[in-house]
Amino acid sequence: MSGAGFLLDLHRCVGCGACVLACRIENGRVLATAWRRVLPLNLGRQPAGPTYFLSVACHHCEEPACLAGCPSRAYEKRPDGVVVHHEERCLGCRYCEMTCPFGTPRFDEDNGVVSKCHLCVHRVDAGLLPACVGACPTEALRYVPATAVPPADAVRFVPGFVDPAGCRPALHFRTPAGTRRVELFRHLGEALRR
Amino acid sequence: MSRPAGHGPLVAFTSLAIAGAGVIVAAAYLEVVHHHLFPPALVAGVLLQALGLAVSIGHLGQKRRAALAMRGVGRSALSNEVLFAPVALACGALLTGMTVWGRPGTTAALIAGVVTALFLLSIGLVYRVGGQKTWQGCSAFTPLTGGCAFGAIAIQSVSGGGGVLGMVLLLVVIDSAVFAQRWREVAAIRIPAASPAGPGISHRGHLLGARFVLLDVLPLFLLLAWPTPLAAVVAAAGVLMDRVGFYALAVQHTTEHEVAAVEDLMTAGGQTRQKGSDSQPGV
Repeated sequence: MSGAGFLLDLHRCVGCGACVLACRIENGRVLATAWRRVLPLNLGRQPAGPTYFLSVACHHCEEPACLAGCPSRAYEKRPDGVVVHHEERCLGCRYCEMTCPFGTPRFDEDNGVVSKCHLCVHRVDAGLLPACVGACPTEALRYVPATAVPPADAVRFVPGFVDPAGCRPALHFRTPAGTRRVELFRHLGEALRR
Repeated sequence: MSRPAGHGPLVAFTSLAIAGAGVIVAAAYLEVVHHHLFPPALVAGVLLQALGLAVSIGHLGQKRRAALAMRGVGRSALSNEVLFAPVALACGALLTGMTVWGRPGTTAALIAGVVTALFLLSIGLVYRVGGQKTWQGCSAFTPLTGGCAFGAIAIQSVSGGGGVLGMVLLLVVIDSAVFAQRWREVAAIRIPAASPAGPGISHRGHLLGARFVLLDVLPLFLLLAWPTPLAAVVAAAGVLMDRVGFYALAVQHTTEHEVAAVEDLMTAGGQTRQKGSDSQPGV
């Protein structure tokens, strides 16, 4: 991996939302502007159907569209690859909302600025894990430092998560296990390729 | 996009700026090519542009930090637009002043025309972003061509024949050709049921058609059949329709919408398989 990011194990994630809550508490975010969200993907939209969960926040892309488009240089990419947003430089023009193809930047109506996940750099710099990673009870969400290499079985894209703008997000996945889910995952991949 | 309420100031800003800048470009074209100036058009163009610039501040969450938008010049398309807006306004105002005080010059008109045309182009380039399906291709050029067509129509219709019909025909034909290509591009986009598009996308034909008729077809017909200032009013409505339609057709990609699209695909696939197995029980 060329920059710090996350690894999400789709087999382990149970969609409990602990990561969302931990992020909100750590960074003082209300639900409407929460930086992390958990998106359930229910294949076939059937109650009994296999489901997996995409826990996503900022992906700290290698080529961040938010940073490239920002007119006031409010975004900065640190040497370790983390993309941080400086609220004190933000105009609140919301152009980053348009340029980010993942829906990551969140506009805060009360403060008139955009905000987003900074990978808990204050914790990481102190040798701690990001709050979301530290709170994950199943160890589905992991922090991958810039110096580390993602596991060999990790993939960059799964059904429900693509990169339409060539931003190269620093998010890796481990795909679901279990016969039914693996089979459906394979069907889904084939259907999307068509 | 996730902020339909936030598009109001953008529609107002871009409509005023495109209309005002279009008038300046058309007036400059008249001076450079036909050595004929129409001062009221220049004054109106500068006023419209200035009003648009003032309105543009309205959509910022932090209005007092507006000057920071210059920090990204050369890297950010939005910063480039922010740079060109006051420069084009200043050039237009200078040309207007020179014209009113009786010292117009072809060189000044040429510079004002080129700078203002670059401003119009910069407006279009702001919206060429990777995650927006309907803002690709020719959409980057429609502010330039549409603005110029409006400017030519406006000058021709209010000058009482003082304009040049040939210029109107040329600019309207160019805009029609560019917009027809944009229409083809938007029509070719496949939108899944769970798309991030607003309700506008399901009426894309009506939105694009209304813009085409109001900005190109009807004003030209009026000017040819019955020269009247009404053509300028109709074309102004066309510029407004262009911007309303542009934002209404926004189709922004987000992970939420990608997930919904995949679920839709699988649901449709499952239903197809279900129907197939119902009709062919032996298979």
